Formats: sequence, structure tokens, C-alpha cells
Amino acid sequence: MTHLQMSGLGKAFGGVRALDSFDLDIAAGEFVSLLGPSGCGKTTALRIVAGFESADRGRVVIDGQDVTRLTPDRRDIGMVFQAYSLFPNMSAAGNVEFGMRLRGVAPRRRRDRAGELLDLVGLAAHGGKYPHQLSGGQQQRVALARALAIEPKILLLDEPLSALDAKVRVNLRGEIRRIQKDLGITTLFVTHDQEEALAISDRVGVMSEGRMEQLDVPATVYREPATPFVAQFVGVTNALLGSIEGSHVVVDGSRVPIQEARSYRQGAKVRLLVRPEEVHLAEADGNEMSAHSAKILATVLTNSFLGPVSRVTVRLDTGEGQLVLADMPSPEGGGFAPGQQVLVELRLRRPMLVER
Amino acid sequence: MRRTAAPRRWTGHSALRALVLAASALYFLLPLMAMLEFSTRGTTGRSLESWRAIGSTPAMLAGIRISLTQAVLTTALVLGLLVPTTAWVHLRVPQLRRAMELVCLLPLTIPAIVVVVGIADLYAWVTYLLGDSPLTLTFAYGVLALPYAFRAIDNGLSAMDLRTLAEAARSLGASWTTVLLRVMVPNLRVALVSAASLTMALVLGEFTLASLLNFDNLQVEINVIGKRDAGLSVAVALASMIFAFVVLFVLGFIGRRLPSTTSDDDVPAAVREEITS
Ligand SMILES: Nc1ncnc2c1ncn2[C@@H]1O[C@H](COP(=O)(O)OP(=O)(O)O)[C@@H](O)[C@H]1O
Ligand SMILES: [Mg+2]
Repeated sequence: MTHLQMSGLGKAFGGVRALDSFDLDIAAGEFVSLLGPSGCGKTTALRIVAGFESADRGRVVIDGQDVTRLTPDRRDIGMVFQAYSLFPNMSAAGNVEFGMRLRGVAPRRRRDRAGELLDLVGLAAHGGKYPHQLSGGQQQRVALARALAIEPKILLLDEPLSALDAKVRVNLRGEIRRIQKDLGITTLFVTHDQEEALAISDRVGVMSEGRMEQLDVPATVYREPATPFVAQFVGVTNALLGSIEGSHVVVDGSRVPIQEARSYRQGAKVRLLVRPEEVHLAEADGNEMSAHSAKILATVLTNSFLGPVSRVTVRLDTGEGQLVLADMPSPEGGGFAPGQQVLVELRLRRPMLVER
Repeated sequence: MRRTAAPRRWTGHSALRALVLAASALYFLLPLMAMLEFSTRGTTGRSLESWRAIGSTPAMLAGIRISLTQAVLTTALVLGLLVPTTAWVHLRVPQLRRAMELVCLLPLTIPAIVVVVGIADLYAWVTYLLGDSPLTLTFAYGVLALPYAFRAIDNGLSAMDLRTLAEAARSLGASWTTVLLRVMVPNLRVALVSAASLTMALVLGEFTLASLLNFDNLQVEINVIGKRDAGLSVAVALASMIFAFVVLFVLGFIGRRLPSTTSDDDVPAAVREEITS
């Protein structure tokens, strides 16, 4: 079990800052995901850990040993790539044995171990097949077995599922997590798919423009986003236009009480970030209207059934006619029909404001 | 219905194919048959006199030996230089690929006679440093073979995700040499075989440079002896052509062999020696 530390990593490509003072500390046996939009530096971070890219600044420390200057072949790091990376001239078993062969493992032991690993990834019967005879999902499984075969200190996975079908993707991510837990291997997983990151990680690091925005357990990242970027990137978020009035944000004439509003100047234009599940809808009966109410009159546009909730899109009746998404629990949520007038109430758990 | 229709279309295709094949076979084989006929002419009827004479003409045997050695050395030189260099360019400095291609294609655009003029002075030095063995022609032939060998290897490298494969191997503990020998070369086999075939064919048939630089090789000997004993020279020319076919066939066969599980024996021994030495 290995402890991985990345501290103060910086990397620029020409004028592009791919990583900027990037810190990440992964405990032994922990599964951490890096989540962020394309181009935010996730792959660069991974490649620096693997030794394929050299950092301009900062250090990578594995179990107390500074490996920043070590070449990739001396780092004992298993890596699964986004692109299919099996050696086309070797069978699945040959691929898995490759790293062991380089380490001088005896042929018999090597074969046994390759068999075990292929079994672990559910491909016991496919050892003799060549990469071109395997499906994309199977190839990535073999790639995982191959990376694990060298008993790496760290396992790095760079969007290994992004080329696969949705169903295969969900299956395989579950298996990756199971295997990781079984082996207790310290793992850094990169993805731009928030659902994937939230589903399988011990902790999720959300990145933006080469920096770590927030690093925390999935529930916290989702419920208590540390920055507006995280709030908008993770989960679905309404960004309601409003302006500051004392300790309130005025959204289309309705005053929403928010403590944080005090720290903004009077009249400042802001966006209020609201999760769909924080939006409550009620049937309008015509009596609630009052200037000081936090409720806003709106009209239902669409209603889609998502299983546990119905996602209702409404258009605010006043002001600029902003669209708001609301998740209403089933079965009541199903009752809102397009064209119906409703009252929107914001039941904010953790209000977040962004100046615009 | 479909069952009967399909074979009929097939026969149409086959007939056309057979016709084209026959026409090209005739075109290629007729001169060869003429050579065979000419080289087996005796004073009375058929005779293998000229063919037997090959074995008893030391100059001809020397020419054959020299050309074969040149072919092997040139192939080794070209593959040994080009494979690592092209791979390196692909991996590390892809922006130089165009420039490299341009340089490698240059020999195609420069007539052999011009090359000789330029290279003659250089060969004074080569002779001074390495002696006047015709094997020194290997260097000149290496240059001549560049366009063909580069194209083949470059295509082979472009066809695979070289960077990902190399990085996968590196992370598994492979040194760069191992990456080259166990990952790149086995997956480049078809490209290497075609590069080698083209180079060998080029060297075995080369006359201009050798002749103008005053070196003896197979083609030069054929020319010289041809003036004295036309039958012998035609016999050798035919033999060398048949030999070249056999070499290409064998190489092609190696190239088409299915990949095997172990990577070690995927590396042709000659290539492995060349690259490690
Ligand atoms: N080898 C490279 N040369 C030039 N720019 C690069 C290189 N690798 C990455 N970049 C740039 O660095 C930034 C981060 O890239 P990357 O780490 O691949 O992002 P991600 O994996 O999050 O999509 C991007 O703007 C990308 O264009
Ligand atoms: Mg990436």
C-alpha cells in the first residue's frame, strides 16, 4: 500500500498552463478521481506521475521517495490509457506477461499469474486471443490486468472507459472499483464524467484550468461545492440572474433571503446557483402573491420522468423569463403539466453566488 | 437464386482476372524465357555450357558474392539507421517528419550520374580511410535506398499508435531498446520486410554507381563478361533475377506469417543483431 504525494506541480506547454501549483495527496489504498472539463490538465497530472511528462515545478513523492526525476520504467506504476494500448503482436496473455517477463519472472509463474489476472478481469477464457479479436471493453480489461501484473505501487487510469458503450462503461467502472478494493491498490482515476467519478471514488478532485478546485468525498463535492465552478460542473445547476438588495437576492422581483448577499455591494448583479432538487414547485392558487414572498410565479414548459424524480422545466413569469429546472419527487412530480401555473420556491441548502 | 447468380458473376470476374494475369505473365516471362533460350543455346541443340561456366568464372562468382554482401550490408545499414531515427522523429519531434521525408526522398530526384559526380570526391576519402573494397559502396547504396525504405517504415509507424504503445511498454518497465525491439519492430514486420526487399532488389540490380566509381559488382561483371561471352552473362543475369525473386518471396513469406505469442522470436535475427550492435 502506497502513499502518493504531488505537491506544487506546474507545467506549461508553450503559453498554455496545463498545471498550476497542483497539489494532491492520496492515502495508501485510496481511490481518487480527477474530474474536470476537457483540457483542464487531468492527463498532464497523470503523465507527470507516470513520468511521461516532466514537471516544470513541484515534486512527486511515492512512499516518501522523490520520483520526480525517475524515468517511467523505474517507477513501478501501472497505467491504463484512454486509447487502446495492447501490443497487437501479443495475445492477451502475452500482453499481461510482458511486464513480468521484463522483470525476469519465471515462465511458469508468469503464465499462472497472467491466468489469475485474466480471471480477475473476467477474461479467463480469452488469454489466447489477440487484441484485434477482442472488443473495446475486453481490451481495456486486458490492459488493466497488464498494468496490475507488475504489482505496481500506484495504478493510474486515464479515462479508460471513454471509448466504450454506456452499458459496458457502467459495468466496467464497477469492476475497476471492486478490483481496486480487493487489491487495496492506491489509484488515481481520470475522467470528465461526473457520474463516473462520484460513483466509484473515495474522494473526487475537481479541476479547472490546471488547478484543483475542490478535493473531497463525492457527497460533499456534490452537496457543498467549494467554488461556483464546482457547483456548475458537478451536477445540474440553475444559475439564476439576480441582483443584491441588502441581505437578499432579488430574482425577477422576488426577494430570496441569503446571508452571503451582505458581502456584495448593493445592486451588484449576480448569479444564484440552485440545484434542481432545491427548487420546490407548488400549484398556484392566486393568493400567495406578495412583494416580499420568496416565491416566484412561473409556467410549466416540460416535465420529464427520470425515475425517482420528475424534472420539470418552468419559465418565470416575470422579468426576463428565465428557465428553471426543478426536480420534484415522484409520483407528485408527475402531476405538473405543461402550461400549468406554479409557484417556485427556492429551498436553498447552501446558497452560492457568483458575480456576473 | 442467389446461389446460382453469385458463381456466375464470379466466373466473369475470374475470366477477366485470368486474362489480365496471363497478359502480364506473358509480358514478364517472355524476356525471361528468351534469356533462358539464349543462355542454353549450344553449337548443336540445347546446352548448359553457359550455366556451368558461371561456376568456373571466378570474376563472376566474385561479382555475385560482392553484390550479395552489399545487399545484406545495405539492408542492415538502412534499417539500423532508419528504424530508430524514424521512430524517434514520430515520438519526440513529429514536427520534423516532413523535413525528414524530404531529405529521404532527395535521392529519387537526383540522377545517378549527378550523385556520382558529387560522391566521387567523398569516395576518395572513404577509400583512403576504409580501403578500396567494393563493400564501401554500401554507404552510397544506403543513400539510394532511403526513399523506398523510409516510405515503408514511415507508413508502418503511422499505422500504429506508437506513442501509446511505447508509453504502455515504458510504464511496464521497458527500456527504450526493449520498446524498439519488442514492441516496435514486431509490429513493423510487414514494413521492415518491404523496406528490406526493396533495398535488396535495388542493390542486386545496381550498375551505374558501381561502374562509374570503378567498383566490381554483379551487374558490372555481367556487363564486362557479356562483351566476351554473351551466353554466360545472360545466364548470370537470369540467375540473379531468379535469386532476387526467391529472396523477395522468402521475405514476403516471413512478413505474412501470423504473429506469435512470444515477442522474442518476432524479431528477425538479422534486424535484432543490427539494432543492438
Ligand atoms: N504535449 C502537449 N503539447 C502542447 N500542449 C499540450 C500538450 N499536452 C497537453 N497540452 C495542453 O495542456 C492542457 C491540458 O491538457 P490535458 O492534461 O491533456 O487535459 P485533460 O486531460 O484534462 O483533457 C490543454 O490545453 C492541452 O492542449
Ligand atoms: Mg485527457
